[in-house]
Amino acid sequence: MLKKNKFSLPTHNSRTIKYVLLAFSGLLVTLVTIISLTFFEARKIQVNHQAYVSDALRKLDLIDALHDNEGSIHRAILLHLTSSSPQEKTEYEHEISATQRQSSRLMQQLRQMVTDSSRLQILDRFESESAAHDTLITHLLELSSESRVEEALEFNRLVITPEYQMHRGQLKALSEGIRSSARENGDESVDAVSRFVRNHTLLLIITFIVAAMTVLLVRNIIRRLRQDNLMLNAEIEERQQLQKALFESQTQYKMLFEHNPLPMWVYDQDTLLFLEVNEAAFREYGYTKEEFLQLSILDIHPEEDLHALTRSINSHDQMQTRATRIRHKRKDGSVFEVEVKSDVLPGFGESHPRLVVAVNVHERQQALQQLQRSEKQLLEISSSIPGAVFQIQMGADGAYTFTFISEGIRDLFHITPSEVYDKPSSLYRHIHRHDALRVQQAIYASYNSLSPLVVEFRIMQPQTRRWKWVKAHGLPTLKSNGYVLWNGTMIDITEQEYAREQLITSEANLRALLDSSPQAIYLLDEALNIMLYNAVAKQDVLNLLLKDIQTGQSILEFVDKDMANRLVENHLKTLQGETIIYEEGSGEYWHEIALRPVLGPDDSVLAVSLSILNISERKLALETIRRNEEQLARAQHLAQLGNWELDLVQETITWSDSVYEIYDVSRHTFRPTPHNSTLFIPEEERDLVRQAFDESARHNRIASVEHRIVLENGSTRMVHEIVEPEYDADGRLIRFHGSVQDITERKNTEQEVLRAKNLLQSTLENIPEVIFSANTDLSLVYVSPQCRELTGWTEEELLSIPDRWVCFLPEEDRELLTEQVIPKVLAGERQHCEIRMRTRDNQQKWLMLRISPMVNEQGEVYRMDGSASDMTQYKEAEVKRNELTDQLLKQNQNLQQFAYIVSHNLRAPIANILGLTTIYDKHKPESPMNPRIIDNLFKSARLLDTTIRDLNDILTIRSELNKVREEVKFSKVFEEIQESLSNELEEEYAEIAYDFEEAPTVVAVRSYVHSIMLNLVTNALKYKSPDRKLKLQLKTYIIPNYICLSVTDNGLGINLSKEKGKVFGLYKRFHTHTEGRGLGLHLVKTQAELLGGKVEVDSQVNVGSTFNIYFRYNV
Amino acid sequence: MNTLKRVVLIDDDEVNNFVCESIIRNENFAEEVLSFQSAEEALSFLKSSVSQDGENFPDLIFLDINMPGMDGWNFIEEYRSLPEHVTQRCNLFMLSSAVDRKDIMCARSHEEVKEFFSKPLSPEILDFIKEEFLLRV
Repeated sequence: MLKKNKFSLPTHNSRTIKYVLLAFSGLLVTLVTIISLTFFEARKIQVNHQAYVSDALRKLDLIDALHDNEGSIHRAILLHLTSSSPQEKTEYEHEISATQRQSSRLMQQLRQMVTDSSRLQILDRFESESAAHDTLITHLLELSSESRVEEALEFNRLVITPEYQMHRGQLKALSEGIRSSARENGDESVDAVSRFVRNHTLLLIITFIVAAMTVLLVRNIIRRLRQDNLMLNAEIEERQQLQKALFESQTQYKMLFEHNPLPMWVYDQDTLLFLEVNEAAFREYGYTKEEFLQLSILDIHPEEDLHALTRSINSHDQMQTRATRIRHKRKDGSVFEVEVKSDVLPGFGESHPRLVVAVNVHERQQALQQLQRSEKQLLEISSSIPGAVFQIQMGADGAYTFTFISEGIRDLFHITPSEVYDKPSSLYRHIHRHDALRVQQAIYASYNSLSPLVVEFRIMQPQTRRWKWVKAHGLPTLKSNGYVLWNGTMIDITEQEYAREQLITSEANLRALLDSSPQAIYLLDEALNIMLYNAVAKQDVLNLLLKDIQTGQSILEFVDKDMANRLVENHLKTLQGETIIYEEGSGEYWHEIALRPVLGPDDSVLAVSLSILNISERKLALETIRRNEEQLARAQHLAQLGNWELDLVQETITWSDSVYEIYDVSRHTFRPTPHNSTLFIPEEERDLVRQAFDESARHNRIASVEHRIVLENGSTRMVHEIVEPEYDADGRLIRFHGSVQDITERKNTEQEVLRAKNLLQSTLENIPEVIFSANTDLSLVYVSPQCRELTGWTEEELLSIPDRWVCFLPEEDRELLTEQVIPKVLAGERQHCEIRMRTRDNQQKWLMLRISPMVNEQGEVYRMDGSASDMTQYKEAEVKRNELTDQLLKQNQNLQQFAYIVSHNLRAPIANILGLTTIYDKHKPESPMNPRIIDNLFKSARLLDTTIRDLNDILTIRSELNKVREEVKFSKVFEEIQESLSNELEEEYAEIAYDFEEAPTVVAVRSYVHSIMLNLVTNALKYKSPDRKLKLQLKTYIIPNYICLSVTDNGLGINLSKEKGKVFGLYKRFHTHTEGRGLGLHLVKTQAELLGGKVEVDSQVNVGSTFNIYFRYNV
Repeated sequence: MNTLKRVVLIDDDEVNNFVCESIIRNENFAEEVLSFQSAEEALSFLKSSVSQDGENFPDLIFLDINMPGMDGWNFIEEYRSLPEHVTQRCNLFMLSSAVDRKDIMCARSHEEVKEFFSKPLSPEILDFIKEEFLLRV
């Protein structure tokens, strides 16, 4: 492509230029032609016109001169006539003749100029007339000279003057003609010019078109040129790049040579002199460049090798590539071994250069020796490492070999390295059998992913009989052909492992300790991040913040802003070693927060333990006490409560004000003593009170007692007394504190209420229904104790979660209650409904609920009261009755059907027998008809017999239902049937397949199963298609609640769309061609149904039928 | 009219057909008695006789109810679709062993069925038919 452009460009360009030149020259020629044409045309017109005008002007001059001459002649004549002196007359005559001569000359000139014929005629006439006129003038002059003036005047007046007038007219006409012709000529030239202009317009248009075309052409050309220019530029750039690349590659090659780390040089094969040497060679051989260029290759060889060298040089072809190993000599004389490779370079001039690369193999060999040495060392070192060093290699087939194993294996496995080399698997023998598989898996994993092999396992210590933990660590390297090589170590980590276990145990202990603390404990690091937390802490966070706590989170995420500031501040202090405890909280929630430093062995603070104790209750209690004290006094007064103190040592009693009020005595008149205060108590109750005091003193606890007091006015009051003993340091009872409250009124009301309640309670408890009271949201407010019998739940249990009982209702009943019954109750109507309820022991009970609305003063229903009575037995009886009724109805239907069919089928042969007896000819026993009648009588009797037998069968089957149900094996039954039908089956060459795998047995009456299967198989045989071989397939499988026996054939089939309802009917038949009584399928159905199952059929005419028998199956 | 031309018996019970044929012959009730053991066969015979201008169409049919395949009721459905000018001349009787009221009611409800008789056929029945249905025409 590039090449092609290179060649095509110049020709292309020159052609373009040619086009341009052509276009421009065409344009130029056109323009020049037009301009010259215009010029000449215009010039011609101008010249013509000028000539014509000057000619006309001259003519006019001549005519004017003639005109003047005529005038002067005429004047001279007149003067002649008037003059009297002959002298003068002669003078005039001369003048006239001179003028006449001049005129004739002028005339002559004019004639030459006039070309137009008409004008020539005028001129000719004028000439001839002027000639005549001249003669006349002469005559006149003669007359005048003769002084015949009168005559001359007359003559002049009659002849000369008219003539003169005529001459003037003629001259005028001539000059007019010339002027008009000159004007015509002017018009003509104008016409010519305009014509020319018209023509010129056409030319101009053409010129424009040509110019436009030229412009287009030029534009095209310019575009083309621009394109060419671009291409040219690209090419130039490319060439520059190529050149640059060439230059670079040259430089690179040069550098490759010069900076090559291998010593290289070029020498002339003829002279053996160095031509070019690289830097590596300078370094290797110790010569400078200048020195090298003075040398021949022989100089760098040791003297003793020169002979061999020259021989080899001579013997070799100059063009060959060579590679040899020889010795070279440095400038300092040292000799070393090199591997020389040389190749011929293209020659120039006389020289034949050869490029030589000399690799110093001296060091390599030394390195090799070094390597061997270090390997030996490594071996020694490895044997001194605790544990074993190994190198193992494994192929894709899983076969592995130890390429190296150090002596340490003796201590670890008690096995020698050579044993391992011989039989790598011997190592496995020692590994704990629980770990062996893990080790193997780790190796395969490492093999597949080339990840480091790290595995820990146990090996048996034969002498100590203990397990030793070993950690194997290896680095895999992928070698060729799928081999992986591991280098690694096996180290005894038993002690580490024990230490770790201990650590785990102690950590677990610590955690258990922490978790058993009732406080929430967090361990925080310096940055307030949670390092550890206990179970209470986790629970707290979950309860309060609904969040999961995790180590590493900042504690600040779990506290609010106010708390955070204090926490951060105190945390800082704790880090200094302080222990800080403070309370935090508001309202009812208070926490005691303790920050304690966790100190390391060197007393440095390792962490901060934060414990949070919920002290809300404590706080609350304190608060309550304070408040209570305040209220006490007020309350005592209001509650008619007084307190007293009985000092047993001093035997005094002190009363508070309220006590005086209660005892209705005056503080001023009455001094209470232990004795007189007991006198208020009626005698019969004093023991009771004493008992309370004794009890309190004995058990050191508060005792209370209610008793009556008899006042001075004889009235009785009921008081409630509380007694608290006080002991001294030695445990001796020294004092009683107590309070006394007047509870007379309360007691009275209480007793009244109790009486009423007891009455109601006993009523409620003695009716069989459960009485309840519920809020409008169905939450129970009250439920009578009978609920225990009905639901199994106690009233406390039901009332503790007041709307729980609704959950015991089945969903549909709950909907009935909440969506239908309750709205009506809330609308103020009494309702009753029957619902089911789950009792505590998960039984279902039917309840009759009667609910009445309780309406407040505003007419709103605020409560619902009701009763629930147990309907279960009634309901159950009802269900049972319905079931029985259904069953009875069904059986009745069955019986009717049965009776109908039986009557029909029994009657048919009987009717025949009757008919036959009527046609029997008794009178003529020998009648030919009679034997046939007898035959048919037989037939009918047989049919009657068969029918009765069938009926017997059917009835027997029903009675068989009471037979024992046993586990019946389908396969066994089928075998029996196959045996009994073996002849028929063989005859048909039937293809039989069976599969009783899924449900091999069924619990049923054996004879039923046998009969069902027999009937189905027999049917398949009877109604097989004459066109195909019988294929019979039996299969059992389990579906929910049923075991299904499925029998499929490829027989004639039944048109189910017509006969669906009749398939299993008694004496229903669908095919007339074979013997059949229409009993088989009916029996199948009867038996299946008697067993609690059902039957189904699927059939297609001429395709086959499938009968599915479902046996009830209870898991 | 004394003797019918053709009587058709439709019953799967061979013996009954024999009885009927014998009685009809003995009583000289018809010139020809044709018996079919299935309703399908009988129907195809009737259809073929219709296509031959109805010449062979029977004057009287005795039809059983219970038969395998097409039963008496199904046969009546098909019979109904035969051309009226042919069936008009024919008397269809049910002859069944059933003594069930339901069957009798059902038979009466069919317009095509002239009467229901319980088996066996007897000379009395034939006399009754003659008197009630044939002489009147």
